[in-house]
Amino acid sequence: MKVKRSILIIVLWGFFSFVWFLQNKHFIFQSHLQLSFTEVLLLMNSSAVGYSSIQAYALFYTIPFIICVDHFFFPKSVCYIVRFSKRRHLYVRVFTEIVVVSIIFSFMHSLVNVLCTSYFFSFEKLQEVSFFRIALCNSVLLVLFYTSVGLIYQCLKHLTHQSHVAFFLTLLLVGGWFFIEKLFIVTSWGPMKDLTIYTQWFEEHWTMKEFLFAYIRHALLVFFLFFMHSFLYERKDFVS
Amino acid sequence: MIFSHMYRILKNKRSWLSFCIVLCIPFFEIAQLIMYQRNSNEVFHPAFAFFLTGSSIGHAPQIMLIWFLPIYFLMLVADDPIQDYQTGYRYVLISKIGKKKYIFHKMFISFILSFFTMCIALVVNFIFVSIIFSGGTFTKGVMELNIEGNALFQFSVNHPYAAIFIFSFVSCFMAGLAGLLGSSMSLFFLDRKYAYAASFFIWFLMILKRNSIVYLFQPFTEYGLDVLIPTILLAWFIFLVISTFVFVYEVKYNES
Repeated sequence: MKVKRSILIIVLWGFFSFVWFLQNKHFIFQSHLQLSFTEVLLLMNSSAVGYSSIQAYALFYTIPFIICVDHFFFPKSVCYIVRFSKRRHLYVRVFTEIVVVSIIFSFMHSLVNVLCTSYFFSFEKLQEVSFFRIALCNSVLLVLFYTSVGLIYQCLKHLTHQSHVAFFLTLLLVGGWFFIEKLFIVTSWGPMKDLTIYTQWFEEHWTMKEFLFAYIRHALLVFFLFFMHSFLYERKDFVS
Repeated sequence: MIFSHMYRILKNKRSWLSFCIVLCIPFFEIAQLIMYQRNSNEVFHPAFAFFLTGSSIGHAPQIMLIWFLPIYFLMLVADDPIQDYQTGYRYVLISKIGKKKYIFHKMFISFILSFFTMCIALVVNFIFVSIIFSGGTFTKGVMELNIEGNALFQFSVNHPYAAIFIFSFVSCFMAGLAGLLGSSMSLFFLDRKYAYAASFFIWFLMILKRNSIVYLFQPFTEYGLDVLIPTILLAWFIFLVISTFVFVYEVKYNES
């Protein structure tokens, strides 16, 4: 399992680095763009398109995240249940695994962003605009978002009894919801509208209160999905 | 064997679900275009209301279908070798017809079914847009554009139906290759978790690269033959090399 996890982390690192270079090469290699440092940083972390965009969170990274959820820990076989005195304890273990994968995934995303950006831009300048602090804030919100995605995937897995069908439906649900928010829920709030921390920070639209509200909204979503999934888990038939 | 394989796919609810999704996604494009033209007197030209043209805002249906094409075809047909392996039917078939025929058959059926599924989805979409947007002339200003030195664009503007036919054929072929990629990964890994992940990563890297394979699906764009021909050749080369490697490895070296 250690080798498998190491390979998974290396592949994830490679994937994020590849996406980062493809999305940002126009900004780092083309000096003729005549943009200021903050403008380049804003465009590189834009909420519309790019490495840290809502589109990327919903469409690029959902599948790699589900793959990580499936591969990072041992599959739950029938004999696994007898190791726990209560089913609830097993459920908490499953939830913890989703959170752990979300943390690894989200921080890996931010780590690649921070390291690659630091390589091409001056460390002092990045510190001046609080880039590292904001990357950390973004990672925390991503952990909550991907925990929700992981819980949705697990719910669908229990409903369909097939991991690949659940994989497919989660992808459709998250991708579909992204487009619904983008095209039809333009003015009112949606969970994905909070995933714009970089843009809101650099454009100075959000104060500390808005940041806090974004975290609370996502934490409530995780809380709701946690309970919804727990109802399904209580009735899960492990044998069949 | 072909008939038994087809019968199994026809009886599989998961395959039907995937087929219905591929068939239904283009209808969202029609719905979006109807909503778009509701506030004006203009009616879309049928060729510009066609799914592949992508006249809607955001290109949501195109992204949902084309970006995840191998996943749909894995669900539809291409993960069949994994089911054969799990039930043990793989060994029955291999002892009956030989490994070479078995592998070839799985890849061939995946390519053909993926090709025709995409073809049916596009034909149904074309029939509907021809009826709904009959007599329309609105092209969002594309007809008035003049891109210097782009022969493909000029040809597309002068012959819109021929352009959408050519791009539809290329799209169906690419869909067939997506199915072929899915079946190659299924035959190689014999595990859904790895087959789905590998197919997605290969397809997605082809989408994310500078000259994306998505350009091959969309008519009336600024990309000329100088961009599209190298892109299509590279895509064909990569998919065919992967499937040839899997075929040779499975037939010559894999003794399991």
